[in-house]
Amino acid sequence: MKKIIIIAVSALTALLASCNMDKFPHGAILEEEGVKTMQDAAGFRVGLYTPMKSLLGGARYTMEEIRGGMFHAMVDYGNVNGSLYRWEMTSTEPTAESLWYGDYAAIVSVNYTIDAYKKLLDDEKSGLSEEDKATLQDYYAEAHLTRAMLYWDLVTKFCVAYDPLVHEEGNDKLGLPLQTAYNPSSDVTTYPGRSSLLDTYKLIEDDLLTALDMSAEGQANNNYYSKDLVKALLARLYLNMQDYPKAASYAEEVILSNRYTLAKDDAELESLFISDISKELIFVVYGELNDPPTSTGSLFINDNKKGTGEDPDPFYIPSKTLLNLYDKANDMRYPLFFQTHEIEAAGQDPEDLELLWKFVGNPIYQKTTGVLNYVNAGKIRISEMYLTLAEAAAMLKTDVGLQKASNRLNELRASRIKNYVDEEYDSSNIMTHIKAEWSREFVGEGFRMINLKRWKDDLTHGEPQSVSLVYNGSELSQYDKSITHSRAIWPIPKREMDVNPQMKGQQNLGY
Amino acid sequence: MRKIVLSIFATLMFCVGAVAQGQRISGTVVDESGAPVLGATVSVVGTTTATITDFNGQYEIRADKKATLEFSYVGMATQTIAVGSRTTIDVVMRADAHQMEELIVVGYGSGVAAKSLVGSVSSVKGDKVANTPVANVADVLQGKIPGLQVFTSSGEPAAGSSMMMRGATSFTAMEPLVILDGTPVSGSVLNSLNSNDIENVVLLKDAASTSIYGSRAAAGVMYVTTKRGSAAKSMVQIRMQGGFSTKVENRGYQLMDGPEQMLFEEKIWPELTIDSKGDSWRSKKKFVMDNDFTFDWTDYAFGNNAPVKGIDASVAGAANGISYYISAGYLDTDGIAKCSRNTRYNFRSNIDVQAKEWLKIGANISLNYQEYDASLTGGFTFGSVDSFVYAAAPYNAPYEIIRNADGSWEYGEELTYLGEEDGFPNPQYNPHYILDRYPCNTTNVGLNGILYEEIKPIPGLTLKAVQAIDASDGRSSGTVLPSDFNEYSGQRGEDFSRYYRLSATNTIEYKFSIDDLHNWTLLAGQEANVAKSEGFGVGVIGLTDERVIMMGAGDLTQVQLAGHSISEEVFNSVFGRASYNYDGKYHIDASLRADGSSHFAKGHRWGTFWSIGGMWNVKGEEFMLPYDYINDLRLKASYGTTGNSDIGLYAPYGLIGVGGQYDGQIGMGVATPSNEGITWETVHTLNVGLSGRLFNRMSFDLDVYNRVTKDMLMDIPYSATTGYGSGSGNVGSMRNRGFELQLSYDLVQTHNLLWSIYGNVAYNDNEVLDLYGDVTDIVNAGSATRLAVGHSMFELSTVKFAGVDPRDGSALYYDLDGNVTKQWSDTYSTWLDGKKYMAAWSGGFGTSLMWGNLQVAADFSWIGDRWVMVNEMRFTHCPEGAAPGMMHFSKDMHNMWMEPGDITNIPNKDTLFEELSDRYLSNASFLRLKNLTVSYNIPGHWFGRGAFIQGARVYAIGRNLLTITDFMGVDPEYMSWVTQGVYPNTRQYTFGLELSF
Repeated sequence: MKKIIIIAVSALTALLASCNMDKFPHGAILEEEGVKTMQDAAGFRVGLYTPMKSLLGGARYTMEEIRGGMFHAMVDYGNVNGSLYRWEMTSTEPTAESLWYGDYAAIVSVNYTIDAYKKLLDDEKSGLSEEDKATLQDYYAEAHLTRAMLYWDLVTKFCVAYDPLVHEEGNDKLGLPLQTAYNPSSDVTTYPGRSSLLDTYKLIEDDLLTALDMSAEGQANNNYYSKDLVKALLARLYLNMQDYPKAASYAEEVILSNRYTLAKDDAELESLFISDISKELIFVVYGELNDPPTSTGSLFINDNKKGTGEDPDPFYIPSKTLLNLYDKANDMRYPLFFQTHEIEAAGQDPEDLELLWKFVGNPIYQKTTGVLNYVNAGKIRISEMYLTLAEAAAMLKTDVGLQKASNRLNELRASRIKNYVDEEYDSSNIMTHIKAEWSREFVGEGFRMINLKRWKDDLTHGEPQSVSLVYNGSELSQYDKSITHSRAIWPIPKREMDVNPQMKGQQNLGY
Repeated sequence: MRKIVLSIFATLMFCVGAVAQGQRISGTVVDESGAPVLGATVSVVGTTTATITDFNGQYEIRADKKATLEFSYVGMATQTIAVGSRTTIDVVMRADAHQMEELIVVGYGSGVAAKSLVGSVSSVKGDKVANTPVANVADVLQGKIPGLQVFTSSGEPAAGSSMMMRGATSFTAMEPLVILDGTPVSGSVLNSLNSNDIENVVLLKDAASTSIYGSRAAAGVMYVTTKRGSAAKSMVQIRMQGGFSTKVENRGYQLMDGPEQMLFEEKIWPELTIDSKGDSWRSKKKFVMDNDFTFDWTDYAFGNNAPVKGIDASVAGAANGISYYISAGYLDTDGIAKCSRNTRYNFRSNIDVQAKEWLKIGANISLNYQEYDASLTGGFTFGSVDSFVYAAAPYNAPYEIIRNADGSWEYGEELTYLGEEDGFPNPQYNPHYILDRYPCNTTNVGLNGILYEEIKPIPGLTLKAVQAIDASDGRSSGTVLPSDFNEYSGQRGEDFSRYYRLSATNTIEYKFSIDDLHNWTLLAGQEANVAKSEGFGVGVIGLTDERVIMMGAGDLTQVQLAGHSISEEVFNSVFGRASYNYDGKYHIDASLRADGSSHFAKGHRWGTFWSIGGMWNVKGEEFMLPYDYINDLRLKASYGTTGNSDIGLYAPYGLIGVGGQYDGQIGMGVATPSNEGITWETVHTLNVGLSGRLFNRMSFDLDVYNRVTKDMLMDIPYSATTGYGSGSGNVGSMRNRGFELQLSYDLVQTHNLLWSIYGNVAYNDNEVLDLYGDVTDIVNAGSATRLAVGHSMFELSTVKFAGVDPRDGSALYYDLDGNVTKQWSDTYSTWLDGKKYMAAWSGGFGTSLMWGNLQVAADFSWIGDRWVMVNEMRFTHCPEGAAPGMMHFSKDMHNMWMEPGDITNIPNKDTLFEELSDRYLSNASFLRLKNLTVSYNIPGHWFGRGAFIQGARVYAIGRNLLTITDFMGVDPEYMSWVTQGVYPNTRQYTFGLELSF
């Protein structure tokens, strides 16, 4: 009997089974093995450029424009983006949530890329050639530019404007929760709270300065980043930080590179705004028929009736005050930016109205003939440097500064207005002219709220094109607000406030 | 080696010798009425010697004087009788309606007698599930197991059921773990198993019985045992059945007929009478009114009287140490809708071999082949068949209408296109025509093989090894013929899927007694489980000739790889259990199991689950002796843990995926966050039970439980700073508590009449105890579901309807402060006095009657206090957004507000469709006659003594014959918070004949 036990026990032991529990997903790459080769590095570089599509166009442009008073809701706008227009957002505002989550998703993805590039650069066994390493170093710099752009997008919407006086007084305002690592977790204790506004701007500045290491100098119509672009963004950053000498210096450097020249005539302007090709372009988002940039113009045209552009039904139209800023007869931008259509709405008598036609779409992205897609490539333009330099120089409040500002403003206007004769400005009116030029040149491009906050100008709605066709057209002043009003900045989404204990008590005032 | 061979040889000789020994014993087995029992098994305990009784109930067997004979027969109490010096042993067998004496397997080991069970289990005998006219065994269990809610949401013949035991303990998994003959298998086995092969189904409910299954047992364990051969004389059985299915339709309101809807449309759209656009409508109206024309779309969609047919044969027996059960089955059910059917073939061979005195081996092999079609149903578009019912006007018909000169009319051809000129405001192809143009079918081969080796080296010690495979290979074939609607560019696609689960289980069990008082059973074991699924699909477009619908004929430049997937999972487990009882009176059970799973990252893989339970056999006490009307009384209690690891296969791992595109290049990007810390969700169950039998007539079984789920696996929002919107986390907790009571009573026990009734009721209260962070309330916009601390996860929340303003007919709603407003807003969503879409109350009751050769059994099931949103009513009761002929309105709409002063609860015609409110909420409680069986045993003497046929039974089965409900939707059994356009459940009438040889 004993033997049987032995046989049985040994048989049983032989049958004991245990299986390897290390099972990994098929057809997927594990996070820690993401960037092993230059090919991987190039794959992740694509991910550095895709966020630019949404940053330069779409909601990033339109939402901050309809909040800025230069556009009026139509009577039949159906409350589309109404809470933004009327400055009545709440912390559950879906647009705020999508911007917040969208930008952070991109930031965190860039964080991963930066870490992975760094790891590969530091890996002595990587076997990369010196040439590869130089390329990788460029990618590394590019990654920092994308992150700076994303934080810039957030800080200008969710935080109060930067004011050096406030920071000097040691009375800092809240910035953004800063995340510079890739570390997703359900552990709420790992979530960062809001940093100071100073630290947030410092991070953007540091990222741009790191990006300045890239080797490409720049060229017109570039679909990729360059030193010139970094400088342009530094100029933009310093202007808004009210560091006027630095802003002027970077803007001037880009202008003086002579790699970008202002358009000379209406054909060149049409090429710039419709075909997205111009010597003015420091950076332009790549696009092709099957991979178009972001659609922007539908709120202002909404040609959903026939799809031909002949029967628009806009949600928002430009104010008469805005239109009157232009020298309608001579400003070559005017016919490119606006188009007159007979509009009928809510049973009212139809009227001829000027619609924002700036984003009617580049024909190369039209999939179906006659059907508008409102797609134009996002751009960073040399004209911004002219205005940045003009504003920074003017704000220096010196005679030299005034002269420089006047020159650059006249140069820009000369390229936009037929038969332009240089104007004389003095220190009392130069800023008024610069502000008007910002509005004329960049209408619809999402600069409006940033500018108002920088200038500390209150929100005004001015005059409507039509009292009867504009929603509450006779009582638009009810929507005028002080720039210190709580709705000048966006709410931190409630969803974030709910899950992030470190942000307790850090909601923007008034939400 | 030689010694081993010798010892094996000696053992063999011993066995042979044992068989040849003993004296001849004979006798007669009769039942309580004195009628001979045919086919009762008579066996010599401890040997494989056995025989069965003949037509006269007589038997003959050889046995030692010291031997004990066991007499057993299905439905009767087994008796054991010591032989002694007798050579004639006559036995009177008594019916045992309660089947308490059978061995119940409670997780590994050799099983225990029901009376020694410490855990809470409920069982259903095989005869209750046999001969079911549907392919799905789970459906039959509805109402039979207290605490188990079963929902069959669709009448599609290939559809399965959803099950929920004792409420939901998880947001991710509800279905019990299914164990087939001791091996964990995929839950889909319940759809592929031949119900006639089932010996019994046992549901293990509390921690004492489920903790030994560890990580996947939180939702309960359903243990299915298939039949084995036992009688010495082989039994051949053949069953044939045939019948048909019809729809079960319980809609709680009437729909308008043709003329009625015409008049109603005219009332709400007065422009039809003047507008030139109304010309064709008016001409149609004239025809409809003149001819009182109504087309029954429900009948068109689900009106088939669909045949059901089945044939089944089995041979069972035991001889020379081998017992066998071999069966084959065929079941063919057509659906009540077009292109809806299910055909299944089953083969099973269960063999047990007592190879040596110390070695027993066995193999249960089952193979099934299934072929089915499922009709296009589901979404809300007129394009699917199910929406005919509420989205087609009763005055339109999918047939050409030929009007004769004499004013009469007749139907012409069935329309392929439902055009504007036929009165359809949304012109489209007839879904029936589309179904004709979409020939498709799915086939599946399933294999279930279980091998075991059992060694008993010394008395009481059992070593057992089990190797099993559960596998299936499926193929789905879809074609769209070149047709007018696809510009004569047809499609062909083939999808392949393969799945297997291999498991190996090794156990060692030792049973021993000290002084015949201290009884111990110790068990230790180990299990490994590997599963792999693969899928692959490919398709082409551009087929132009419908006679050549092979892929090669398509446009090969546009071959589509529909998908390719591989996934694997592994579980490794060790477990042990100690059971002790003192003199059969005081029982203690303790179990422990450690499970490792590939679902989790290293360091978070292993979970430990345990239980401890006790049972006191009160009746076993001496002080109970005077109370002879109490036949049995037991009190039990247990506490322990089980787990759930159902979070997807690779949740811990962060992944890189394909990113966006730029400058013609496809990018890479982070795609899935890593989630290293994710781990088991654990359910802690306390169970207290009392059971017994009184006056030898009434049995009762009462269980009270409290189950708390901790570390719940849940999709939770992440901070944006993680880069992700949400992910899984172990957060939150939930509690389920309730009771279950099962009663049965033998009303009549006379010579030729046995009549018993049973009933059960279960109550479960679910409450979310904690969510995550400071979040205590999650409202789901656009849905009536809501998760909040202090409420059931099934509790409904929506805007409350406050009636209709008689002045202008506006719908009135309550805002959050309880004020009545005309302005509807999603944000007014509020709790609805505790109404839930999964019911707290459920149960069943039934009766069985045996009168001579006639048997009748009826089983009812019910669900109480269940509420479901009937989305169809947003169409049938709301004309806003509709156009003439677009909807089929309810007769209730005659009460719609029309003019100032009307007092009604149906608001005016302009009330917006999107205004979702509890106006559409309906009571989905129901009582259903799930099964009615009438059968008659044809007396044996009809065939004569020694006839070829030894027994015969004819029977009729009705399923879902009767439903009592106030539900406004089509079927209250649909398992969701909202119902719309479902494939209605079916009712079957089948007739069968069972022959024994």
